[in-house]
Amino acid sequence: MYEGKGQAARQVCMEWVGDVAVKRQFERFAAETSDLLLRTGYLMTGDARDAEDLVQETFLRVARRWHKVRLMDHPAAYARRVLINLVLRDADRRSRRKAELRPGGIGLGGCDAGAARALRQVDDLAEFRWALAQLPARQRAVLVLRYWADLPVAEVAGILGCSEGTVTSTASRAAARLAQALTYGESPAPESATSAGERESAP
Amino acid sequence: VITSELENALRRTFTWAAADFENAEQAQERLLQRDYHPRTGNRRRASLAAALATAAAAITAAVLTLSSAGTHGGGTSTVRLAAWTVTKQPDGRVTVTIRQMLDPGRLQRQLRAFGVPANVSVYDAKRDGPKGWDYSAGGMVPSCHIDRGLMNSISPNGLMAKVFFGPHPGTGPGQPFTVWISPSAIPAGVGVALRVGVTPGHMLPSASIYLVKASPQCTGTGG
Repeated sequence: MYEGKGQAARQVCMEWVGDVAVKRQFERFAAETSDLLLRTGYLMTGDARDAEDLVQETFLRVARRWHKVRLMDHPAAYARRVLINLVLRDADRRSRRKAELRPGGIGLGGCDAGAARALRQVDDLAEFRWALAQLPARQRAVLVLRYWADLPVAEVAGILGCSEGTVTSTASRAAARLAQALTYGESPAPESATSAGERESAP
Repeated sequence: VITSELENALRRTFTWAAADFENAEQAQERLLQRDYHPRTGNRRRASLAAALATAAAAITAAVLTLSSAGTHGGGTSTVRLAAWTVTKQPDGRVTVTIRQMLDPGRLQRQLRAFGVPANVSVYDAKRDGPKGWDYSAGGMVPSCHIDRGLMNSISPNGLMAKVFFGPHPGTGPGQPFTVWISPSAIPAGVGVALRVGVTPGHMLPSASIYLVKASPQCTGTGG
């Protein structure tokens, strides 16, 4: 009788060993992606503590779906998508807080040459972070994903749930607004919340 | 359209800004010390496993009771301290239940006396680092060489499953940790290492098990 139960016990052992392996797999995933996610969160929020909170929430959400996420080709890409969507979802609250810090606004201006010149002259990262924070979250996400994460337009479009054309036009508009904020030290005028590619939604 | 000059300027500036994250390593360390309870997909099977583990433990207890009553210690040998219990069953299999990691040296000697080429050590997250238990992240067992090839053999027919053959209930921090070892399944040149964590609430099982290369320094046996 004991040997028969021993088979069951062995099966239990398989489950246990498998569970431990899956948990270790998640821990490896967290160790490998935490730096990337922290810096993405930092660029998106401009604040180290906010970035840490964001990554923690991201890991919690990924862990809840880990039985599926671990089978994906690119779990890190999924985690980045979760993080970006958390920022977009939180965008209203964050933008209100930033507005309190630095109110103001002038009309949109700038062009590519002006934007490049403005970026060349950036010598204060605090100023750059502030200028980045003035952008709507969706514009910020496009710039961070395109020019820091170096993702192709199609992948950014997939993350944000919009067309590739929208990503391109949003990037152009965001760069101009960034340059404007850097050049004039003022918050750009808020754009219509319903303009193309600027809807704050989290899929 | 964004020119390549602007794209390059954006890339440079973002790289610069991302690198400016101060204390990123400390933030990473804090993040990795939290337990996120990843779903394994074994929820139903986990409850079945728990039920089977309980049943198996009850059967084992019955077997042990019968053995001690009927054989006057001829079949089953048990060494029980407040901190841990080691039992050798009539078929040679050994169970270790650890409640506290006290006197690891005696536990190691007892396991070896029961035929297990064993190494027992204490894992301390403060001393060994938050990932010090994880061999895949560079963690080590003092004086031992972890056999990575065998450690990866977690399939049903793998050596890990054969050596650590039984249920392992109560692996949460602060819970008693039971390891079932089958000495006859341990090939020549291989040993068993146990590391028990001492940091409450750390993202670990309360103990970790390893297959190691047998050596005089590690398991007290020839390599």
